[in-house]
Amino acid sequence: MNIVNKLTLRHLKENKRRTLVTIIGVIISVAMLTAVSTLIASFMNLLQRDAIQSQGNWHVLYENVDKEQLEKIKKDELTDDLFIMEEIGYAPFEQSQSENKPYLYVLGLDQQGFKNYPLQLLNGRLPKNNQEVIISEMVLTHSDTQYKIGDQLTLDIGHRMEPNAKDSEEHYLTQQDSLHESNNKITEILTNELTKTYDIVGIMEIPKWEPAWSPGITVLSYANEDQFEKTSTVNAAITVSKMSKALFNVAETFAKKNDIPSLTFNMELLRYYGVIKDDTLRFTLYSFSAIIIGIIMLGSISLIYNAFAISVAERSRHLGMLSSVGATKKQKRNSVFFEGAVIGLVSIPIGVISGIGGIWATFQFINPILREAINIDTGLELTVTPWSLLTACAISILTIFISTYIPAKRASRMTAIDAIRQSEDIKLTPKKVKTSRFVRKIFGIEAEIGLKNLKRNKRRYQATVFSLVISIILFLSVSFFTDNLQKTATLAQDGINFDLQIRQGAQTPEQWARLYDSIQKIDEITELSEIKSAFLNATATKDQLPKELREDLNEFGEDTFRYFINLYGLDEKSFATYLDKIGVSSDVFAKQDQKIQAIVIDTIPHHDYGTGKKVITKAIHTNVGDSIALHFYDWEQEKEFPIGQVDVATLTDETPMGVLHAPLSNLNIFVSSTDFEAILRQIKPDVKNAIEMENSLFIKSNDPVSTQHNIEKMTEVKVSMFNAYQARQQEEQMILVLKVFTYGFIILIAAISIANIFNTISTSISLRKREFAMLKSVGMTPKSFNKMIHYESIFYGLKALLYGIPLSIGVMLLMFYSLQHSFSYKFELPWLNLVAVVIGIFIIVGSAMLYASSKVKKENIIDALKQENI
Amino acid sequence: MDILKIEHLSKVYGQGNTAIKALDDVSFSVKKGEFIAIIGPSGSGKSTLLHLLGGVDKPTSGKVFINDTNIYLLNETQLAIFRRRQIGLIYQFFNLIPVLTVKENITLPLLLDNQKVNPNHFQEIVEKLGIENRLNHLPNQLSGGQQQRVSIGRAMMNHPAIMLADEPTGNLDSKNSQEIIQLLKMFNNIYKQTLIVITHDERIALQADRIITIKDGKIASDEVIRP
Repeated sequence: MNIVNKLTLRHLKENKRRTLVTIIGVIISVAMLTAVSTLIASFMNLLQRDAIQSQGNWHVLYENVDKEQLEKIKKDELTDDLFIMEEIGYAPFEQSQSENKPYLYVLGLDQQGFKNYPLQLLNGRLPKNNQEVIISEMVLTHSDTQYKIGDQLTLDIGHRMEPNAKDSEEHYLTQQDSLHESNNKITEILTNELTKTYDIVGIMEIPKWEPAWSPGITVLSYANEDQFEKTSTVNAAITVSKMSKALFNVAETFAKKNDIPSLTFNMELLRYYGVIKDDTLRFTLYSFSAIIIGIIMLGSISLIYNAFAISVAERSRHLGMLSSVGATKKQKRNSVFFEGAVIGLVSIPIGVISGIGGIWATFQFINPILREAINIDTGLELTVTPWSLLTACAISILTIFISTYIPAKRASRMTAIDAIRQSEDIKLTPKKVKTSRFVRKIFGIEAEIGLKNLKRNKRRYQATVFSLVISIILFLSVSFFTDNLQKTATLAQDGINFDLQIRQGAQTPEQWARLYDSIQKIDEITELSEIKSAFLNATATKDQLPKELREDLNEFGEDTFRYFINLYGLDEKSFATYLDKIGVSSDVFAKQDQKIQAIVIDTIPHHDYGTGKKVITKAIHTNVGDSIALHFYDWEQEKEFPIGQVDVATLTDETPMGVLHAPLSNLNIFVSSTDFEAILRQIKPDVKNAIEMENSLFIKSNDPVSTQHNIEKMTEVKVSMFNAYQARQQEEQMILVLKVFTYGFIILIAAISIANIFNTISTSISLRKREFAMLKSVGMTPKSFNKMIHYESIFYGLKALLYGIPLSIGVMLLMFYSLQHSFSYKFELPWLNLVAVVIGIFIIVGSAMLYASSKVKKENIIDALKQENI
Repeated sequence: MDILKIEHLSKVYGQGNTAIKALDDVSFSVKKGEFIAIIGPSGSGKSTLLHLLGGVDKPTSGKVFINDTNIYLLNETQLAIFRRRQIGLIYQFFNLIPVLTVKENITLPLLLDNQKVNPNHFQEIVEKLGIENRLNHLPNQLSGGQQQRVSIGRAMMNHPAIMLADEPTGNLDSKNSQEIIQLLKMFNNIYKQTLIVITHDERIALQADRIITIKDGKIASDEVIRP
């Protein structure tokens, strides 16, 4: 090691505390960079696994290849694993109780194929030849058949075709195409090409890759090269040996060269390997991580730059001395780069390890939450690729290099005379350290000296303030974003007063009634109501309208207004509960004078998004006893079909469970289900078909998740169920996961700024020991001395807040306006966070301050005065 | 009248075997308006003596009275205030505050004391020092001699009871050295400013009223040249 480097090392050892703070700062930034790259790799891995779950693990599928072509594929360089995948076809499954799944879908896979297609065997074993199959458990659950292992299954296999397909469309239909039907009639046809009898050797769970909408229930058989005996071609799926953007061209060229008629790429999976060109996911992910990495780099550069600038200033005597005995510019410059290399050598390995460890620990913490939030089995797995490691290291090295560049330049220019005369102060001019008169007037001479001292080394001062400003902006803008997400989520659920909603879909009225009966028996359900609804219209005169609508009407110059009417029919029990809730006697509805009595919501209370206060809007001006004439307006025919009348029995602003308040120009009207049926009976059948109608069950439960499972078990026909409770929970958990990452990130960035300000303040103090001694010797009292030191720190904080808060507000406004569609409320400053920032900054600055003044207190005046000129 | 009285002043650095007696039972007194030179070889203890007189160091034993105040009975704050009102210190390396202008450096003791600067007095001093057109410069923009004038100005600003100078010419060439001594003598004459100068320089010492020689921490001789 040459003498210059030896000196550098010794200098680092002498300034242990600062070296340590710098190393810690660099470790944090390397750890963050590693964490970001690992997170991206792990996230991609999650998406890849998810895609494999739903698509199977293959990248390219060569279709209809013959024996010779297959051999070539096997030998091709691109091919890593190869398996045979044979779409054998569809067979009618008459016993199916599901209207949407009338077929069995037979797919053949070879041994490798069973490995690459994720599936869970419940019983038995995998098929070993093309006479054997395993069936999905759905075959059993969606039919009355009692197939067992060892039973035989005879199938008439063919292909699904769309006879009416135009030329541009595909005649053959796949599992991705749901059953083609029109007016409850199946329009597609199924050919019959071969009849085959299989032995059932196993039962599997419903495969994850079977689309929920696909019409065929999966049956897997064995396919391999002996397929050639029958059809002369097979489909060969491969995973590629080298993942790159070129693979598309390579595979296509290969296919062309070998006369392979068609090939398919597993686009969804390939997307998550990042090899698809101009892909939005890739772009989003990369630009997002570029922003984060940019922020980390900015923060760390301001720390590392400062640390090295300080070190060069301190070493200026050494450097000048070296220069006087003949050190070249290059040697002086390299001594700073050497210092950077030493810091990097220590920090980067520790940083990489702690970054990976930190992400691992984070995954352990968030995976249970994540699994529930996004319904995946495995959660994020720690994925470290050579690429992610290399990127993290390369960026770290680049960061250190950029940070040392200017100090190294400065060191190279350090001459003997500069060092002796203290070049930095030579450049000082009165203008540079000029301070406002007010500073002395308001805070005193101590503050003025403090402020002048900050200005003395402007760049260092700016770098420190800058790193604090970054922390402030990050904290405020990110917390603004997450808080708003939460606010939006809460607002979206405003008024949702039920846990589960079940819509009547394909169920027959009998099935629906049976379902209702069984649901009624579930213990944990606290409230259950059946609500039928029809969407109708009614005309209102001008004077009935609230002022918001009247203004609209004036604009169009019309006299009447057509309301959208949501007519709801509540089952008797919940109708009674509702009457109770709004405090109306049921006698009103017992009157049997032909007219249907209805409850009308004439007032809409809602939360104003800006202020969070309750606001009341009038929906219509009407009186108890008035009649509302209902009709159905057909927009296509522009024709009105009168339906009947309801009398306003009572007016209220409360809705029953399951119904949300309607927007203005809509009117919610409630009747009992008997009356609802009575109204419907008046409608002609052809009109009735055009009216949009719905039938739903709304449930409140003590344990919504288990209720959902119970209901799912008992349904014969799949129902569409909305778990409002779970949606709420999932949203909250997603936000929690987001918060873990964002706040973790902010805390680390803030840690870097703290290291920075500690370094700066403590060094600035140790460089000025002699000045301090002098000030004391001309009679500065300990109190005013502390005042001076404290002001210095306070000015860091003030300056940081002065820039940080307006900039943050700017960023918040920018975010607000660019994402306005997702914020449905007025802009509001996060006062609480602003206060938190001010307090936080002063805690940081204050502790640096205490540290600094404790350090100076120990100094003896005499020792400092005796100190030679630097 | 004795403006400064020193009684049995001792200062020991270190402990036990490594203890070094920098000052050993020194006593003397100084009358108002006296110009005293303290001379002695390196390590004789003369700087230690000056620091003890200036109240920036604490003695192991003994007392220092300035204007009848036993300065080592004062606490740190009282001592600091006492220093800025009663003692003017001049150093070999000037020790100016680099971020303050010449004017601010000179008036610093008053600024720290929240006192108003008497413009006449200030003008008088800077004119005598010959730095009236350098007032808005920073110390680094001045030559060594000029910097030392600024520190004399700072020491004079408060009419201190005693002015202490530690090798005030040690860092200057002979022409500047002579000028500085002349300035000090002038203030001594005009304002009857009590002045104690530590020096190596025989020529400077000979211009004093009284020369005290220190050797191994003890007063070796104390002779009055001009009564």
